[in-house]
Amino acid sequence: MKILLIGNPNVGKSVVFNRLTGVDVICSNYPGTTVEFTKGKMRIQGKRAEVIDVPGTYTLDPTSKAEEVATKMLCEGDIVINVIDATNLERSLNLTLQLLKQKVPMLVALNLWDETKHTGISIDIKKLEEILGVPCVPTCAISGEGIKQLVQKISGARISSYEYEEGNRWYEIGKIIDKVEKITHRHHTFLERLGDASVMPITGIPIAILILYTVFKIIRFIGEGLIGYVFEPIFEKLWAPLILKLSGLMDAQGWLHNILIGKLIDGKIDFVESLGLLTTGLFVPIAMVLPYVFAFYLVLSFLEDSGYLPRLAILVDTVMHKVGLHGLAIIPMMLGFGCNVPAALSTRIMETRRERFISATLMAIAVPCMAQIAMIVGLVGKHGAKGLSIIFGTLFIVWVVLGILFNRFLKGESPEIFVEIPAYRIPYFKGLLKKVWIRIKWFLREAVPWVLVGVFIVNVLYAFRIIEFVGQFTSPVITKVLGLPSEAVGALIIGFLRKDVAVGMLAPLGLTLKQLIIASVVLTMYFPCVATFTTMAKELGLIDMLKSAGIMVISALAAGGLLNLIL
Amino acid sequence: MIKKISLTEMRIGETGKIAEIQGGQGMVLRLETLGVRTGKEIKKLSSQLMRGPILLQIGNTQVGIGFGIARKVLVEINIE
Ligand SMILES: Nc1nc2c(ncn2[C@@H]2O[C@H](COP(=O)(O)OP(=O)(O)OP(=O)(O)O)[C@@H](O)[C@H]2O)c(=O)[nH]1
Ligand SMILES: [Mg+2]
Repeated sequence: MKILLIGNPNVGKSVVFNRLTGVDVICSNYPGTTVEFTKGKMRIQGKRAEVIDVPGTYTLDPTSKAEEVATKMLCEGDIVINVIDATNLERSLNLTLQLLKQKVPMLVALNLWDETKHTGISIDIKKLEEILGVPCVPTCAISGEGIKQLVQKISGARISSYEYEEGNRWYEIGKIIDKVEKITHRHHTFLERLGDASVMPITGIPIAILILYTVFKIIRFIGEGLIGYVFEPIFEKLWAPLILKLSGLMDAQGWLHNILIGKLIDGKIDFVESLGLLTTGLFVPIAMVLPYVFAFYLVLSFLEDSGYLPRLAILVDTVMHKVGLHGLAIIPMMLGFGCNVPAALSTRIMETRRERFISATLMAIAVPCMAQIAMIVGLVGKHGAKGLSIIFGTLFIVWVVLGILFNRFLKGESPEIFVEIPAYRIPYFKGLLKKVWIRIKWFLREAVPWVLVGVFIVNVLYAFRIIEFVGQFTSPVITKVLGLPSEAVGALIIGFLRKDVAVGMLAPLGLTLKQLIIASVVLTMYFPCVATFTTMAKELGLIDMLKSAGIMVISALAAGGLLNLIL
Repeated sequence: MIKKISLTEMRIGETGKIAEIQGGQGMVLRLETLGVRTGKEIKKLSSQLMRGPILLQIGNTQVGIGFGIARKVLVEINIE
């Protein structure tokens, strides 16, 4: 049996899904969090059932790719749980009435029930059930209230006999609401006033700058703190002596020693340069990257759950139009700083193919992921803030210039933004931690093994002198155009796999600050890592992906070459 | 006196009733899904510089609408 969770965006379907199946999915306070369906299992009265979390949709005539996924799923379900926003009956019932016509067994979950209280809304559930002819259950998914009742009523799902004429849908909805809903007077809350201030240009722009600045500071504070006070001491004081002992046992030589521990530098382990699986292979992902990834996702999750992102989208809309997008494209860009893969997926919230191409390409070229940023900060930060400012400044300029060019030369226009702005919510602490944990788990599962593979391959490349060999015929470009030593090509090769390892490979090359800057910029831009590449190829199609990749290579050379000339 | 103006001409904080949407069927349907349709009472909450999007309150929902669309939504307002 297949049970579909269908409803408007941002009504809590994913939280309900998590409650029903225990499967962790990302839930955030903005429309368009879920862009692909997720499957999970549950038991209803001893029988197994499959539950599917579907992207939110306002109607059954899709307007974006994420909505298309939703409507396509519909014919696959045996039962539909229509999750609706109890504080927004009118909009929700519009979809509900369309669903009733599909003649699938259905029930309705009136979620966000807790919020009806302080918004002064009361709904007569009995009457609504009578009118719609399907079971209706009030729920508060975030605390779990009502979920048990919802599960009990799943077997009571019915095909409704409610009939109405298509042209009269809004009139019908109005009639239903008159019968079931009462609104009493309500006060404006502090959050609502803050909500208004953050979208007025006069107050909104300073607030946005303040928020982004604070975000930056917090990430640095947590990231640096964790590295300096927790992870580095653990590795230096506890792990290094162990590894040195192991090295002694192996007489500090042999191929196994090379692969596990790597080169000793002055008889000591250098966790960045040794390049062994147990040294660099663990140190890079855990002690250099993870602290920043954790810090970033903590802050991002807070922003997502508060409801600030759609407001930021409104504020930056005008600027985004200059690069052929609209304000909502800020969401893939922000997600990209965490990891480019989910960011590439989230370009589905954009309405047109053109926008998806532009947003995915700009994101992949100019937005380095946190793993790479952490390594750049670790490597270039030693030389002071100037190098870092040049790197990120250059990437920002690339983003703007390429965006303007795309907007100019790609056929089509960018559609106007049209988005629901959800209420501000104080992030629910447990939910927030859970989300950070989902993302950290994902990082540990996906990234750490690939870093190890990357470090292993680096060893192979060196052992078989492949880097030297490739270096010989790439050196015209690498040395002449970019001004880098020919061994730097090794980093470019590994960059296809993992950009953090690639940046780490620059460490032993003894580069000057200028070369570090150029290499960091080129490594960010020239090509996406393999995980991002496959996701983008799936989203854009292979041809567009190749176009996008061509643009990346050319613009990386152009930007790197220019930096080499002017620095 | 009742005057008909577009969303973009409304002042911030002003309320009115949507009178007409000058767009094709597709646009009308899309606007409808978020409650922007003729007969609805709305309040303009904010607008952005340089023809940026307009923010509206409709019932319990806030909706951001790009300038180009907002220009085509006509609203009846009451002026003394
Ligand atoms: N107060 C309250 N908040 C809730 C409730 N259910 C969900 N939320 C919050 O509402 C927001 C949206 O939840 P999601 O589960 O991501 O919504 P969704 O329907 O999956 O949204 P899309 O994937 O965008 O279609 C999150 O910030 C949740 O924490 C509820 O019952 N009460
Ligand atoms: Mg969801």
